[in-house]
Amino acid sequence: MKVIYTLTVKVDGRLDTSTSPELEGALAKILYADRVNDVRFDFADLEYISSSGLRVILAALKRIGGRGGKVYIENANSTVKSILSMTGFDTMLAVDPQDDGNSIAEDGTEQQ
Amino acid sequence: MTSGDFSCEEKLMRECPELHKRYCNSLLASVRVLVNYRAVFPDYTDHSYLHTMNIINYCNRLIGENIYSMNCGEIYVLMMAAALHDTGMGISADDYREFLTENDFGVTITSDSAPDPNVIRDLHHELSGCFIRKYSMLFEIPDEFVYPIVQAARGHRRTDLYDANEYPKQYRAGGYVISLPYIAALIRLADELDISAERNISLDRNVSEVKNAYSISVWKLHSLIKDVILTNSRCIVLVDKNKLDSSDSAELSKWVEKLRTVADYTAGVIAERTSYSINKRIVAVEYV
Repeated sequence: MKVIYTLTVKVDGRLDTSTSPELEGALAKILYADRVNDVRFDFADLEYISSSGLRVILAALKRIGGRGGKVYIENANSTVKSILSMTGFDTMLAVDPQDDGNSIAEDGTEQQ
Repeated sequence: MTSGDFSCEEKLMRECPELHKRYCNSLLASVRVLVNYRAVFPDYTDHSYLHTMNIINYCNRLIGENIYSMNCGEIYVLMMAAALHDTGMGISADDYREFLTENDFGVTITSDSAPDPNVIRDLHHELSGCFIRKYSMLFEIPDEFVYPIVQAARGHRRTDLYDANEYPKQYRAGGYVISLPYIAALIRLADELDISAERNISLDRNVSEVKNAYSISVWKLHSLIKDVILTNSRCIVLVDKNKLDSSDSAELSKWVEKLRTVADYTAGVIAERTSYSINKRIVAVEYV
């Protein structure tokens, strides 16, 4: 049996030059441990993302991409989606994908 | 949208969806190709697509109100050249031999020469030009845009931006008139501006992975620079005074002086050889 660990990150407010270091630091602690396969960013409460924020997303993708992981962006508002589209990031990430199946949480319970 | 953020990307998407689509389609290849430098320079500071993103971000800020005068051909050339300007750092051994054999870069090699990191570092801007010419189809670059992108990419260091043959004021491609001196000068200055701690994002690589003593000192210098801020009249290098020690000061001064030289040079190129404007900024250091 293969267990897929998916990290869900909920980001609110603005992800820009002043706030992206906080996200970067938090992700580094988790992703360096090499236990996470995929990362889902829930942007339901994210107002705006700058180039600095996108760099953190790309760095996360590079960190886990090497071990076959994926990055998903969910619930982005129209401004953020527009930025993902104009920068071409929607060609590198899955933006609002359909859920492709169940994953198992760390405590062993099935997640949907 | 914050003023200056994504202005190039937004205008390209809005006014020329075809070129924007080509740029977006090239991204995955660019991201993958750019990490190849680590095979040759495993301890170097970041030269991946993360660096490209900083360059495009700085270009958006340097361009400012000029965005309204720029055309989509110029924006496309700028973004593609920014993306591919360091591809020469990670070329394969076969390409190394091919490019140095077929071009007169003043380096003599044999058919079985192994890539020399010193040669690559010294000539990487020219090697990037060769790489773009050879692999333009991989990046979906239309034929008529290959030359201006090559010139802008190799122009990020050393080339003479005052040379009217290499950098004509008006180069025609794809129905657009492209100011090559402007595009090349923007990339050269933006590349020089990317010296802050943000250059090496810890999520991507950690300094603990760096083994070479000289490279460790370079990484440290980047980490000392908290930010590089552009105002209308100044370029402020913010240095963390708590981390700075006497052994760093001399090298830091060289970096600042180089930035000053490039800022003055590119401002001169833009003023004298283009119809665009750029604020002539004084480079200053502030300790915080």
